Amino acid sequence: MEMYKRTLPVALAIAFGLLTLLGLLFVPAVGDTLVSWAAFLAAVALILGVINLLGVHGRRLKKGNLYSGVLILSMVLVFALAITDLFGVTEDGVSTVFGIVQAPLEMAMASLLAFFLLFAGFRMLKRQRTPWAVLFIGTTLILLLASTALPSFLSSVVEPVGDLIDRVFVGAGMRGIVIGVALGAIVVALRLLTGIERPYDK
Amino acid sequence: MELESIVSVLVVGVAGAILLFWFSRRHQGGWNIGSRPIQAFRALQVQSVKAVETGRGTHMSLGRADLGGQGSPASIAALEALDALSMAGARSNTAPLATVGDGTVLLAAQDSLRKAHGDAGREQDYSSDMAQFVAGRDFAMGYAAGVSAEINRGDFGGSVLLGRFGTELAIMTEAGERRQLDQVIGSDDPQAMAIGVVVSDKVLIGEELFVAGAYMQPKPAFLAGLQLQDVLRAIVILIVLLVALLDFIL
Repeated sequence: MEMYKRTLPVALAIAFGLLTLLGLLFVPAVGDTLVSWAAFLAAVALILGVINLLGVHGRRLKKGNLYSGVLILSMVLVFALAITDLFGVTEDGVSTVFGIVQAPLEMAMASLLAFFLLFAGFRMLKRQRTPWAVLFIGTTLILLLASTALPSFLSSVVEPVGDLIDRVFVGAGMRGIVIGVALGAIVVALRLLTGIERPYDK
Repeated sequence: MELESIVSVLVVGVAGAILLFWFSRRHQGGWNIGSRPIQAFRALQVQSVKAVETGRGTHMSLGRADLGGQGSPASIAALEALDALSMAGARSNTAPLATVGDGTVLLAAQDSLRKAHGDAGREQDYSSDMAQFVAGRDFAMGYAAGVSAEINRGDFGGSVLLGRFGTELAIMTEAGERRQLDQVIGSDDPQAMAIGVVVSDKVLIGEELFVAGAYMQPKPAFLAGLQLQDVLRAIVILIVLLVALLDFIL
């Protein structure tokens, strides 16, 4: 019993992990096939996610939450449109709904990001009055000024400074962070491939 | 794939695996390495304690990445943190509410919460609603809106955002800020990290996200990973310095 509960899943995970890695290195077709299997499983998991969403909001609707009702209604309508698209009753119904509802809403929210960041910046200055916070705000101002149309006598001063900050300091910092993230990802992958870490063994 | 890439992957993979096993064995034998304090992990531990004292749980968002793609290391790191928060919360019935953007992570998060409740002898308190799928990973703003709604709806003492996020992080942190929650942020995306630094002083920068397990539940496997990460970082720093020096001299 212990073998089926612990040893077999670990052995399968290590075997498929190594097979995928070696496949991607030496026989790409094998690696691609295994990755496509994983993509299929992820698609099945997405269905479970949608069922979870439906269940959570169904229970909230029972308690009188109208927003949950709107969510469920939207979900049912899009599902119905997908069915009618499939049988040729409607044409590109799902895409049309996404274009009319989802895309404008996402764009509207994205346009608010600048304001959220502006307020967050002000709050940061209130919260931590440290030299680092001042440096952060100063750098932001210089980079913003460098990217706007200024009179030539000002832009000749601000633009080179902005360029220097962007090219040297921001570039170096970003590379350092990206290298760090890559190292972290490599170590997590090695922990999984060697079976030292088993997140699936619960 | 080119020969140099194949050789690089194999060398790093084999050498890394050998070091990982060796470090793991030494930690199992009681070897103790000091690790520098990271404010964000300290804050997570404080949040766990506060949750017990106040009875107000924690919201935790695990990002939009799945468990099979390029963002999976970030999701796995976030799941390690969820394991630790769940274990602490399940004992006092203040388990975190986990919001996710992918089906595979949803199943893993539900598993983590179920196991924590089982280990605490409180299976009856577990509900699958403790982990919620919010929106698909391709809909960043939809995910941000869903997570913000959950933050506004629940009675939380803190909000933890660990995993893969983009600029949509600003919307989620704004919701946490309005509720005056303690926020801990960690992402593998430099843009999200930049936003995190503006919003909170408890931010995991770069590779810090991937050592959540070592800091929150110091098992030999996690500590070995932390140490291997330090070794790899030292090697990369040496190579960068050497290349810069050679470039300067030649």
